[in-house]
Amino acid sequence: MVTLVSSDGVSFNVDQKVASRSALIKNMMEDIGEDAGEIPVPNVSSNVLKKVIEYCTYHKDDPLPQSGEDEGTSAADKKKSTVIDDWDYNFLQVDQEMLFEIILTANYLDIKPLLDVGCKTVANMIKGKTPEEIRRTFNIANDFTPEEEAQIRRENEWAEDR
Amino acid sequence: MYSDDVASVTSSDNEQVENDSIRRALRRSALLRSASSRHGSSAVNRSGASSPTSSSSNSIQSAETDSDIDMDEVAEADGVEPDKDAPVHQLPSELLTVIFTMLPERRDVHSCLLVSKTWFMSCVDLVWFRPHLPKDLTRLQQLLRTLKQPVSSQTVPYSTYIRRLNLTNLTGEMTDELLSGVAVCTRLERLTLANCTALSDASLVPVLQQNSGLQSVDVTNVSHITDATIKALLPSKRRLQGLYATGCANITNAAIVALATECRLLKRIKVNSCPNVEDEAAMALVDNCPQLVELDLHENSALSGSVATEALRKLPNLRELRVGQVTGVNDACFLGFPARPQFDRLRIIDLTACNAITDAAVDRLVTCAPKLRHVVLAKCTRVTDRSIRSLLRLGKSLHYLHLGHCASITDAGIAQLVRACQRIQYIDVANCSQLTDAAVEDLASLTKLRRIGLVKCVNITDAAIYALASRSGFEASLERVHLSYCAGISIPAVLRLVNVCPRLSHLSLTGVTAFLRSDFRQFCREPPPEFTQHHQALFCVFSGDGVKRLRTHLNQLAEADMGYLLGGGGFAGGLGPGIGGGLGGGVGTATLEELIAAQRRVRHIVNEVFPDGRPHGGLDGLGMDGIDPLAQLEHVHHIERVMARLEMERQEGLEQRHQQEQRQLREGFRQADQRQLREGFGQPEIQQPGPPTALPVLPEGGVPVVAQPVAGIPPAAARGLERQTQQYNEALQQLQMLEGRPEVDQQLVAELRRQVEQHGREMGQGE
Repeated sequence: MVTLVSSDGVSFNVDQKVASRSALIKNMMEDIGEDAGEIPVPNVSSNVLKKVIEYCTYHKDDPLPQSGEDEGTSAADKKKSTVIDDWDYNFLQVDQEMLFEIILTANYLDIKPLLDVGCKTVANMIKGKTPEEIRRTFNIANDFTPEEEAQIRRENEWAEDR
Repeated sequence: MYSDDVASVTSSDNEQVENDSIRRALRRSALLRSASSRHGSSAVNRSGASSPTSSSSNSIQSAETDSDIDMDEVAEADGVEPDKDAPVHQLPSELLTVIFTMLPERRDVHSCLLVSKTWFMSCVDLVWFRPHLPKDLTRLQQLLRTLKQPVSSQTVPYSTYIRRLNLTNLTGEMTDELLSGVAVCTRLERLTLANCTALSDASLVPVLQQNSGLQSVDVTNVSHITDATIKALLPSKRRLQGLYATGCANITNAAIVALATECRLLKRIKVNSCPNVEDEAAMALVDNCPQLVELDLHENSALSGSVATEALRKLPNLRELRVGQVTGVNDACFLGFPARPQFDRLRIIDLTACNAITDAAVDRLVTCAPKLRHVVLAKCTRVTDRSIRSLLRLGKSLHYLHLGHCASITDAGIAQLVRACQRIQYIDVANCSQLTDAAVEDLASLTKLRRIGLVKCVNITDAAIYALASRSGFEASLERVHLSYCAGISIPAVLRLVNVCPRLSHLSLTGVTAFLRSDFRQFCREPPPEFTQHHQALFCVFSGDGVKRLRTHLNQLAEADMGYLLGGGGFAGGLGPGIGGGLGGGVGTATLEELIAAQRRVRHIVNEVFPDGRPHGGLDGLGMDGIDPLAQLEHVHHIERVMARLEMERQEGLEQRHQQEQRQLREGFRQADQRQLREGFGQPEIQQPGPPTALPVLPEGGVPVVAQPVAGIPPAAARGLERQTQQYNEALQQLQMLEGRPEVDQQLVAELRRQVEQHGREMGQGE
């Protein structure tokens, strides 16, 4: 058991196996030994940390992602498919703020499968949309002047998939 | 066929390159991800370390202050208020980039460019790092137009974003003038110009000189280039790792010696089919570039064999050595090495047409390089089964073996090979004229087999094809099958193969008589222009979509024939995997047109026998309820085949005899039909397959056998079996009538008899 402490001071007791889904925590535990005691997780609030632990608990028995030769092929496959398995899909049916927090936390804690599936979820939100639809989806302001936008269009016309 | 093989290898290499680059792009994004480490701080560092030039991108940064105004405008227009604190803004640029790499369509990435300044900066690199240039010259022209603008007026200095440029989609269109437009780039790392044959030193020299960080350059078959282009690579000497200059015949020793002495980091070099590259150049590479992993010198006929020896001796990292057609390579090149493992890294060796090589050299090579994966001994005509016995020691390491034209190879050698080297994915035994179906049946047992080359294996028949099509669940691994000049292959066998091999992307059938048809030609690849007219006429190669379209076409033909007469027997190809097919290809050399015509005639007779259509919409009325539907179908096929024969004879003027026979047949059907009517249809118990029974097992002579009712069988099912037997015997009677008649093709009759008897045996066993 390890104890993870969120930025707002909430403690979570977590099985070592669950915690080591995070490469960061895994390395930390390896560095400071078995009885790591409390591990502070600054930048991550308790509601997000709770979600991330839920993911790690569900996936605690998955094979660890290989960092090695076959990374290439599996990564290429991953890129091509934006398919997300059912549990992960439902797990990520959250508001955008939570989704991005989960992605940031996965990145920070180095939980690669969660980062991948989070980014895939965002990619799926972008897929097939026009720039204006994307802005609306994410509530992004168009900070281009019409001239700038026209210029970028012209400069990148060759890359436009028709 | 050889040029075809080369082309297929090249295309798969290209796929490999494609995969490699995706992999690299992803590795890059992974690096970006790890660079962002703690998101607390990385959000500040938003513009991203990945775009080194972003500080000079004036318009984007300075416009930041104007953004409030634009935002208000948008908000008004939409009725939604875009939020500067919208959650999406939490994502640092590096993570946005990771997300963009996961977009499946380029179109989506392009849309992201136009979303906002932050998004633009996060994906401009993705778009320009390795510009995707399709087979459409206007795209390249548009890209060059952008690069032509003064840098100061570009949104960002695009030319510095381009790191990898691959123009192989535009090989035919590339000119010196177009490539000169690329000379504004200064940060190119990879330049791929393979087969852009119109290019010359005029455009290449300036482009190469501008870019001193080049890591790899591919000028394969850019045959006009001279030493000047090679020397223009010298500024990249601290980076250059790869040069592919296959077929650049003007390159001389001087340029390669200069390259070798300056660019000592070279890892991969192909200067093959460069006749002016001689020992001096090859030795300079071997002596100065200790990192070499790939050395391709094949077809440089001026080389001596000692180059191979020295390369093996001096290059500890050597993974791939190609010295095919270097006639100086002989046994002595290898026998000088002590017989112990020493070339640990060597995976690939190509000794094509090194005629002097014998089994002794192969044996030593295998001993010295125990991890060889890929062995090419094509046209090493002195190689025999003894070499195969040496190769057995490679065991599971061996993935690729080319034995084309090794005519001494026998079935026995192949049998040993497949037992020891079960991971073979690629095997070529073209022109191994001793091999028979037995060898192919053995090869078919290789579960990883992806590519098999059987060109001009003249002894192989449909049995070999059926073996490839029934690999107990591993059929899907097959991707490329070369059957050119295997004259005995029939359409049903090939249909079966294409139906059970979903990944088949290449099928060559040049010179196979059954496929010399105009309706197949439309799915066929264009013959290479350098072929003679005769060879062009025989050319028959299906690849990619062509295979899919051929498959569809064949299935349509088969369906139009109710799925049976096409092959003259047991036509199961159209019925998908897992179904019989043991009787396929019966009628031998009859063309499809003949068969289809015969089929029409049979239908005509069937209509005569059953003027109101077959009772119960098909097979039910023939008294075979309770029998496996496929067996039913088979059975009907047999009867109808005999009828087809009869009908053909009728046309040959044997009307009288024919009518008598037809009456018999008709009577047989009528009796069956009447019995069926008396006993009613569709009793529930006969929905089940019949229990084990004493179905007739036909003796060798094919003497009619009468089925005896067997205790314990439901009456209706027993009657079904009885009727089946009866009809079966009728079929045999018909055959007996045909036998010995001079006007009937006795070969065909014998074949039909063989099939009928085989079927009888199967029925006996099957039930």
